[in-house]
Amino acid sequence: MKKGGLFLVCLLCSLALSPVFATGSKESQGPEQIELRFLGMAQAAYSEQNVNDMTADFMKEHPNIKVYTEFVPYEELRNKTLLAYGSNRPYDAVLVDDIWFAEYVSKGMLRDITDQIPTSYKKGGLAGGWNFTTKQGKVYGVPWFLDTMYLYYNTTMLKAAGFQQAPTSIEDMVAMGKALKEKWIVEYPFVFSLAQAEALMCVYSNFLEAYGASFQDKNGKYTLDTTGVQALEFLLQLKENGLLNPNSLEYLEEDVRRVFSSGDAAFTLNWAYMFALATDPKESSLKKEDVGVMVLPGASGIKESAAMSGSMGLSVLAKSPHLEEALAYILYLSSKDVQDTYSNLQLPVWTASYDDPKLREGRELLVEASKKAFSIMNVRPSEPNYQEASAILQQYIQSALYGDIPPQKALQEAVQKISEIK
Amino acid sequence: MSIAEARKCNVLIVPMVVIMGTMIGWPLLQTFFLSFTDTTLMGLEPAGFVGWQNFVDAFHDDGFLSSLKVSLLFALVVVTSEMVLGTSVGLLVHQPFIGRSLVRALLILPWAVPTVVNAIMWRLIYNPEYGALNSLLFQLGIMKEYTSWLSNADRALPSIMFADVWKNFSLVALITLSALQTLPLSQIEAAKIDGAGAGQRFFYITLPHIIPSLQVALVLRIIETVKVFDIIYIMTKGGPANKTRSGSIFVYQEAFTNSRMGSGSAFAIIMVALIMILICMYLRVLTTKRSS
Repeated sequence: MKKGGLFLVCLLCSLALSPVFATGSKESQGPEQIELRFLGMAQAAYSEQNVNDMTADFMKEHPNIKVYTEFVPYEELRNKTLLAYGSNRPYDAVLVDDIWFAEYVSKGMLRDITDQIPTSYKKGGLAGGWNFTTKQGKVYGVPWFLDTMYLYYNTTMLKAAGFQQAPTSIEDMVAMGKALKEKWIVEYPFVFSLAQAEALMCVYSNFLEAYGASFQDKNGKYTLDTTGVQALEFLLQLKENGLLNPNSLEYLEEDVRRVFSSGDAAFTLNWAYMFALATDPKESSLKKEDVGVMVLPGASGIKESAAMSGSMGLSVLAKSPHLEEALAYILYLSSKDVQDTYSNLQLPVWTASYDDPKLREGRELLVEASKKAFSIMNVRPSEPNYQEASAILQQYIQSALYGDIPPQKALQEAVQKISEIK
Repeated sequence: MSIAEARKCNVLIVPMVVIMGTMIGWPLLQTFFLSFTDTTLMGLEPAGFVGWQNFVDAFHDDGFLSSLKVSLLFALVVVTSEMVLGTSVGLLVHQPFIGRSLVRALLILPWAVPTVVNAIMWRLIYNPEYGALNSLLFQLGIMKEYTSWLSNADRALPSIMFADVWKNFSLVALITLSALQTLPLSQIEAAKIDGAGAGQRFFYITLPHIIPSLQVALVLRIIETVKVFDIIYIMTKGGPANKTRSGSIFVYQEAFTNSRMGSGSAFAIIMVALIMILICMYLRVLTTKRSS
């Protein structure tokens, strides 16, 4: 009994003293340890490895912050963000596509960081970047990459068909495609990512721009059933004339990259990341001099060039208890030094970077094209219901491309369906 | 059993009831309640009670109805093919032949492959540029040029069905085989002595013996195929032009992409009811046949 009583006293003493020791040990560790959770994208642009390397460097500079990164494919990024936000463990910082900012802001998910953006960021960044992260005059994110779909063309194929210059208009491009097919240089000169996914919307949006049309009028009312027919008819014509690779209807961006890099297409639309991979011998059968890149030319007499934004930004979620640290993290990822270091697959959002000879070296065409694109690029509809509207449009555009419904009727039905969204 | 013993037994069952209630009962109940509301995904706004409106809307929603058709067609074709093919293969591998053990071991492989892996594998096989199927058919002279399998509106669903049958027929074959191994040889021998032909032996002895086992396989496969999601989502995401969008994919899109948990839950409840009706119909037909 005596031994038992002594043991009990010792146990009680140690329990009573443990908080004291615990506090002492905590104080000796220095500032409070913060844990951040970041959700990014597992595909193009900055690779997972890139982001993890950037994050590791950030943690070295901020030893009190531990950042856990997670990556999901683009198709799952929005759903994962929304689901996590509705749960008890939302992320602190997330990657946001330009088409989602309106929805997230309308749901109150993003922190207003207007007053926390350093002046150097506001002045040094390309203006196009702040446009899509700003809603109703308030900034809800920092631009991480500006991107647009570029027209990639095979210069060697064009030269073999007698064309020394890149196309100057849509009509010029189609004429080149026809010549390439007639001369048996390539079976299907065009390949586009037209699978039932957002990729289809991006391609269609580019041609919509090329024909000087747009999704909505100034009041936000969809006018695609009248303005968008020409662009859809153009794609259908390409398919019916045997100029468009028929597999385009199941292709995403990575698929068209492989087809183009294998030398099985003369023209395609894709993001900036493709340039490095199409000229990389490990990833492509093409030589560097085979790969031409430019902004999509417009239709004759309507537009000189066309581009559509596929940019993304970094935001702090409103539920994050660590605003300061999360903001520091996203500002670090988008800082000029970091972006310049990892500019291989993704061009920086900083104006000054474009004058850097190192950045331009070996990809002068891409840098020139991006400078032009970023000054003219338009955006897909920015509205809370975009995701659902996009799904409807994808279905009807595909139906028209399969020849199930005439283009005009397809767009009329799509616009009608969009107007019925609850 | 005394009353005291019965009480003890009841106490022992309590943990199982609690676990089942928490893991299955509660989510089901919650889905049922959600289906009568206009709850959104993140629940930022208070949900309102809408009565049967979500259910009424479901039967006026062309997208939902067409996706139900896809699910039912998928179930009909896939289950029929799997039952016929699986039973035939089970009967074949029951016969003595050289290498039977190896064939039986290999038979389990397709079923052991996870659905996600199976879907990715078949997506690669169907790839229009470098897929094995195009290459094989081209080299055999069956096809003159490579073709698209998953982007063709007419071929996409049959292509997915084939991939699913490839994976799951072996389950039916294995169930058949295990049932056949419990069939007393003496019955077959006696029938032979009585002069019964191969057909008669199959229809009057073998088939009645394996039917109870096949019923289990059938019910399992009906449930699995009517609620099919993963294989289609990975292979086509419901495309092209929603031609392969199943009911479960529609429910997912409604609840998560469109953020409407209320109507998504109503669609899910309808799907569950549909599966229950199919199984009840099947069991009723079976019971009638047995009693007759």
